[in-house]
Amino acid sequence: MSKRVVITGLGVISPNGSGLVEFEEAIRNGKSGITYDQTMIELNSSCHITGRPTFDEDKLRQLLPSGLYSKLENRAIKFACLAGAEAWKDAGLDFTPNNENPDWDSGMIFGVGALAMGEFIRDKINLGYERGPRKIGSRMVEQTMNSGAMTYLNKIIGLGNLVASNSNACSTGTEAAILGYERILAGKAKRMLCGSTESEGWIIWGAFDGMRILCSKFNDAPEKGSRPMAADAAGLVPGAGAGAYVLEDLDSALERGARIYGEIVAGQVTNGGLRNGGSITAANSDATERAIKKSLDEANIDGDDIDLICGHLTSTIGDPREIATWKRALNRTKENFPTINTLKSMTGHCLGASGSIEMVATVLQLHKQFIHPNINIETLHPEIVSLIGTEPVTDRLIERDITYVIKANLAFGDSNSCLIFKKWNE
Amino acid sequence: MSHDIKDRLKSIIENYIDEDEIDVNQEILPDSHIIEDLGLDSFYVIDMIIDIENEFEITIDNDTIMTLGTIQSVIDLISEKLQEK
Repeated sequence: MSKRVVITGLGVISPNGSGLVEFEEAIRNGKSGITYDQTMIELNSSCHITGRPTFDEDKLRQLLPSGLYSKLENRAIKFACLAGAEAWKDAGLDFTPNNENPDWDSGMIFGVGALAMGEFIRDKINLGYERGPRKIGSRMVEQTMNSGAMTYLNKIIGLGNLVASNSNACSTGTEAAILGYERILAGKAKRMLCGSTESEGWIIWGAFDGMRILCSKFNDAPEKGSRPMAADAAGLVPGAGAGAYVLEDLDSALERGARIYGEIVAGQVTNGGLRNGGSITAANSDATERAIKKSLDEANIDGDDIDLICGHLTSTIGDPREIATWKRALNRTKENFPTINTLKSMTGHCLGASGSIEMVATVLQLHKQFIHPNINIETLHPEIVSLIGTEPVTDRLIERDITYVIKANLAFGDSNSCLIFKKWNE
Repeated sequence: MSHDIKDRLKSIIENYIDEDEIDVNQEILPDSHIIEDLGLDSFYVIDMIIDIENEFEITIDNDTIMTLGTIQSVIDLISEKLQEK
């Protein structure tokens, strides 16, 4: 009999809430995590508002050996350690003691967007440039290599199966889940801790400002800035953080009596090949549509079965185009389009961490049977109204039965990843 | 002076050792070997040397780092470098 994969643990560090309890409360209440950013203001960025997560530094100090902790400066790695460790504990699993063999049956795919583009890197570069590379110290490599986040996280947990890092821009987090899901389906691991993290600060966000795609019209009202699907959406608001999830072979989860958040019934990736309208920064809609349709096929359901879409939706001019793609791929009409929401109205766009933080929100909604509001939509974009009407875009919390949720992320590089989750029934 | 160096050195080393496994007050002794007894990762030693250079405003060349063993050998090296200034 073919294997089935369920989610048994979650963890999150998000601009609007760190830790599952705080995060769930935030998304239920439509709480924004976007604030004024003094550094962005001082550097004369066009965007003065960002999503910087806060967290308890003592929790991290307790997770890592002091020698490792004392020189850890990369906040993206800190986010990954906290979210990943929370997910593992949330699944009812223990960290492997230092003097024992690693857990050979469990692995990790923990992705990063641009790990070396955190603010800490400026002082390191300046130090090396002014006083020579020798003064940089021994820890810059491990805090900038793409596998740095998973390495620190695995020092805490001690996994012995495939432990790796993927990177695929905004698709990174959901792609990590798909790679872990496939490994469990293939029978190569019982459990995979998956997720992603992203750097924080003016260096990475400034690079996006250089592309002229950040929001600059709501600098006087931070919480209003991220407004996907709104008529006056004016560019993305950058954020950071990390999301994590424990994916587990169903038999393993049942055997140890684990709490099950939901089942993954499909996971598909496509790339538009940077053809037919696809480019480094824009999605080839055919490829996005294909990822969605293939996911429906894999789950053996129709578009009509979908109860909730957790979209990518970035608060840019791409939002109406994404909605049109969902409509075509699900073969739904204006009259029966399912409810759609996006976390980004509350967190901004957390780049390489967006998929994972949003996936945590998606799974929480499925498990607890609620739909979080979209905030900041005073007027829905007219193209979206003409495509699906106003009903599917909720600005309030809805509590109702959800059986199937579909989640997708679209990324620079023309990559798409799509997952379908099913409510778990005992 | 040696006492002052020892205290400042101890403050630096404390940042690198695992307090769950090493008792700072009991085990940072003149005869303690920085790797074998204190469990410092060899890369931590590099960082520790940079901290020492910054703290005492001295320079320690790479070849000398390889010869360091006990806390006392580090104290002696720092004393020697300070006298050369």
